[in-house]
Amino acid sequence: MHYLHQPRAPGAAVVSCSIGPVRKLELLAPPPAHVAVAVREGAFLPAAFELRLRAIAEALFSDEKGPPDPDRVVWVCADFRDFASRATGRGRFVLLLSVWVLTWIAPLFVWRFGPLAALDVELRAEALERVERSGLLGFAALAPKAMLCLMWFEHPDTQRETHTEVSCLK
Amino acid sequence: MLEVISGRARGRDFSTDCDVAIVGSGAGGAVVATYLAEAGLDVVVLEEGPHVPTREYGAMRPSESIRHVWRDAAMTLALGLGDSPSINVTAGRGVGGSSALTGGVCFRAHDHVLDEWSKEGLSELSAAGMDPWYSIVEKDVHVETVPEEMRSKSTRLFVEGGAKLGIPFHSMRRNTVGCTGCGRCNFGCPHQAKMSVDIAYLPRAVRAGARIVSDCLVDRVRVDGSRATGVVGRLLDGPGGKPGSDVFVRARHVVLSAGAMYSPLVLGRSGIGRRSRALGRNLTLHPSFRVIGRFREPVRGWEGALQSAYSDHWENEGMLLNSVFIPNGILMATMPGFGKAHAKWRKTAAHVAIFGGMLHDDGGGRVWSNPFGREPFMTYRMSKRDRAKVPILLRRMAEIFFAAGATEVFLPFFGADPIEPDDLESYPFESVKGMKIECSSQHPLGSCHMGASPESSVVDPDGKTWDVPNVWVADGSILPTSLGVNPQLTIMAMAARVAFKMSERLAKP
Repeated sequence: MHYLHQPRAPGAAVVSCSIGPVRKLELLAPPPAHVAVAVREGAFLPAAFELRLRAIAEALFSDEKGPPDPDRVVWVCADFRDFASRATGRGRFVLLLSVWVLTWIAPLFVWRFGPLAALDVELRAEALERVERSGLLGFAALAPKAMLCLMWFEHPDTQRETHTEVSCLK
Repeated sequence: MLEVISGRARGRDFSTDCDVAIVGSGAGGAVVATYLAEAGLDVVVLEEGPHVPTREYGAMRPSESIRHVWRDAAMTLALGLGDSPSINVTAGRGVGGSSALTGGVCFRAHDHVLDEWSKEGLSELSAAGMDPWYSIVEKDVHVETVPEEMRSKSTRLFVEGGAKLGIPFHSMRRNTVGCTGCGRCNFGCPHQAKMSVDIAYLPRAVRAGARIVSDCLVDRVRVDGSRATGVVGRLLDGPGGKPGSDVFVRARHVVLSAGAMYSPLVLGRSGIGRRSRALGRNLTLHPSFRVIGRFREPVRGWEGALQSAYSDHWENEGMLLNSVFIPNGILMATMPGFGKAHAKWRKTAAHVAIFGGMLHDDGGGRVWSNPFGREPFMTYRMSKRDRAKVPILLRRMAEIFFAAGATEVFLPFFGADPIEPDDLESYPFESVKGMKIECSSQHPLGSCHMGASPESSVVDPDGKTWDVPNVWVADGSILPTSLGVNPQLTIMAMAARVAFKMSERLAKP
């Protein structure tokens, strides 16, 4: 199995319990954003998937200063592509369908025709918000939004900016 | 290191003989495998998912864990019927099953639930009858109380809010040893501190001679005449589950432990359990709702035990409040808006606290076979009684957060703006449509439920199918009703009981 990073070597500490020795491992360090993302070979994903996804990610993560850091968007979208390529049948179908709906249906919510990427970032965000509030189609917005947000917050730059670095209580 | 035969790496057909073939390696299958192997039986465990060693899944980012060891990349949905919310149902898919991904919460079922079962003809399932089974598995998985100092600030704030309103909270019990409070149990414990079945049971089973095969999808039980002769399936070649080599395991007995979503499908495909019309019905989900409070001060709710406190204050109304935390990214995804509207929430990600509310549901779910793929299709029609509880539960949770000092509360309604304390009284909780409610479940139960009569249940009081005497079921699907509490421990206790019932029978000439 291919991972985005190599697992850390186990630490030396050992605790014991009634079941037997339990190895204590080093906690995962912040995510390895610097490691190149590799997509599983052979997984079927339309070529346009990542471009469509990028249009959604740019709209989602834009702020009052404008579109987000393009490098981080590329990293997140590549990771999302890897995610979708590894998902089992239904999971991948749901992701592909959701991205398709947001690409082609969301523009209709702001009275535009054509793909979402053709709209400027602010109008894209407005279209996606209207889908999110629409009831049943809200699910279409939720699946890509959840995964994009999850991966966005796994990026060390995001964690630094939002003070959400990985840490434990003890 | 747990020894597992990798179906993916094998590259040729797999055929073997054994005493007992067990389908699934989660909280049910692992327990049955361990006790039967230790009783001297030749056991083969067939697991659909991959074997990802604990030290590897513990080192994954949450999104990596979801793509490698969660079922359907967490995209499984029970479609809400009528005014029911649609429910996102999550489960594990790998050696160890969902137990590797739980918060480690270990509740015994309430006495009144067990008494209800015993009155329905399942006399051995009374509180007294189940006590020894609970005791065995509690010792096996090292159930301990979470110390108060392990509570995250997110949990402490909610508990403080509850205290101001006179609502008591209690410390949870979990199957842990040496937890350091990293708040990421749902993605695999990075310290092997959680005693999931891949740590507490499966190594024992392997030491006793059991064989575990990963990436092995069982299609059906082969039945000749009135008896099962084994299981057939195929090895999977990768996450897409492309058909691989054939599998046939000849067995004297078959145990299905594929969970409440899959066990009824395998039985149905095998022509077992159809006569009662109970197969796939009676699915309960423990519908769960998250409520988020935003505070002026940083909360950093991931620092601490993921689940550490609960309140059963409204247990008589079928409501349980459970502490929980979810990754910041998922938390942010539940906040409304895109772009600028969403950016303001992202900036204060470290300032939010979260708590969960769960319903002890009446059922109303159903598992259907899916004509377009191997994954089941699920529907859920929430009972009127349960549906009426949703706004009450959410209002109560919002009240607690405001009592704790939250400046805003985010309710689980798609796209809804947060509410402030002054909004609470007039907020139209009751008029929010089911399809707008965000709801999740980690506890699918009851779709092959146990009963005293073959006319109304799928398995008998010992866990054996009524139709075929050497096919058994040992997972959450056999629970007669929902529990109202996290079911991991009860599934293990029921599985231990099934294993002992089986070993009694198999020992006979």
